[in-house]
Amino acid sequence: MNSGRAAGRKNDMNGSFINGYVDTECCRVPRVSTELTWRDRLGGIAMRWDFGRDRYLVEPGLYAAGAPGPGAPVLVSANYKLSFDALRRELGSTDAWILVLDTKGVNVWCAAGKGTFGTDEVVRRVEATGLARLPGNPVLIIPQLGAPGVSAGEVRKKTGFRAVFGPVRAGDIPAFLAGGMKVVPGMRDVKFNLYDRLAVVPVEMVQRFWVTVMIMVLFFLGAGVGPEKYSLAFRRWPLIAVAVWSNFLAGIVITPALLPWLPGRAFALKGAAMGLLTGALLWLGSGYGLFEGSAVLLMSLAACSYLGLMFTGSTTYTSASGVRREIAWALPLQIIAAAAGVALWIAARWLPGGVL
Amino acid sequence: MKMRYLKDVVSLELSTETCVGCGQCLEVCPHGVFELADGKCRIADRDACMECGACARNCPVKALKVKNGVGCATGILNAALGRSSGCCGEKQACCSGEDECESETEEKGGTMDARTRELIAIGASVAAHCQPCLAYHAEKGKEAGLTESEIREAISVGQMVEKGSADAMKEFAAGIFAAEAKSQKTPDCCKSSTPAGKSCCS
Repeated sequence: MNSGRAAGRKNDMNGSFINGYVDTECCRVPRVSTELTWRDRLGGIAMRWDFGRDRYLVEPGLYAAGAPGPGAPVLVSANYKLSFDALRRELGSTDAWILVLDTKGVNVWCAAGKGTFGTDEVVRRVEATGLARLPGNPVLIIPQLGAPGVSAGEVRKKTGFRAVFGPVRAGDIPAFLAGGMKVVPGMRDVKFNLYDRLAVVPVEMVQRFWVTVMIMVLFFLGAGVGPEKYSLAFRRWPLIAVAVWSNFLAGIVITPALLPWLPGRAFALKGAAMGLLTGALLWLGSGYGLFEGSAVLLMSLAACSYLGLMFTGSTTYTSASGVRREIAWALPLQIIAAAAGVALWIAARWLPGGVL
Repeated sequence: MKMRYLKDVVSLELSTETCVGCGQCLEVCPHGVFELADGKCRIADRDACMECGACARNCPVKALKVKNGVGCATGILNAALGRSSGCCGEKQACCSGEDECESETEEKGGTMDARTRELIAIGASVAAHCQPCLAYHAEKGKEAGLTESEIREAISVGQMVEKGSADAMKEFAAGIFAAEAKSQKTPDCCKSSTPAGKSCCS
């Protein structure tokens, strides 16, 4: 069938992990290496830093890992190369088929939420790859995080294949298979530990970098407003730069890292706590006067609270209803705090003892 | 450490009367929201729910309902501003541009109701000669409330279309040599020489 073609080497990225072929009654199935090369790892790092995310795809189709015999399971995966690489790396010496769905280069969970990793795509891909002609009527193992998009019952009904949900993490698959496809406690739950939280940070940093530069430039320009015009503005610039990038780091890196220990459940609140701390440190460290100092405090509060709220999208446990509720009260307060901070920062120049 | 989001906010609903206690929701839930007690499912940890919709999609008796969506402020704000959003990170479920999508329990679809859709599908299944499709849609049609006579009628409509297509094919096949003779005179049959009602030879 077309799976041989599916894995055709249109580009190096696809060819680099194919190290042979497994011949079956239905077709020639490309076999993938279960070891990652330095290029795979480099590509993974690049993804974390938001380089070329749109092009990091694997051709959808059927692949083999090891030497799958009759009855070897079919592991269903997405065609985001980072997901696919994680799967083949974790398989080690496991013999299995891998069915890569066309999720437009999006990981399993995101794609399941969108519906591209869905029942219809599973059915379509099973048919297109001629899976029915594989020996021994294999079981389809769908990653548990595919469940928002895939109904195992419907897949069973429409394809005739038995479909079960596997563990959340690819790393648990060998144990899952060895244990007779039994899920043990801990395989079902999504965690969000320090590593998980920090893994999503680089993308946020890259995506917010230029906005932050623009905000800094606006503050540089704003520094010249006032009775002394720009004669003193340049003296304020270093402190402005420090304040802007401190908030960038506090809101984007430190809030996620300290997430479980920051007060409250709402992310805007957790961020606000971080902002208060950042603002207070900036005030103390800079020797700002009362007005300018409170202005920095207000603006840090707004910035970190906003960045905290924006981090909801990178987490694994926030609900849309919750985020909507939080936006409703937090966003107006953030805007008010930011506006008050900017106003006070400018007004301080006309106030006695206001500016440094 | 297990983190929980806001209290009492999620739209998850469980109809205990409908629940058959199969445990499928326990299997797909990424946050251990459910537990089984006395042969029925129970919501044990409501605040841990992230509205991913996996339980509702996989509940065989549609006892679960949740307005599924993505808990991503960027996505929700973008949707409110009428923009589609990119994925904001790697591990999260945030990437659907839509503000929210009703879960399968509401039976997704356009403007047609489920009965009409199934009637069309039944007719099309017949015309497409797809036996498993017909069996599947006849069953779904019954679920959607179609009567047996309605399903029969849809089948016969499909058969009529099929018969019509067979007749048209017969006629077309009979005329194929005539068309060929013509096409030899005018090689590019796709221009004006295609007889009306006959398909172009592409």
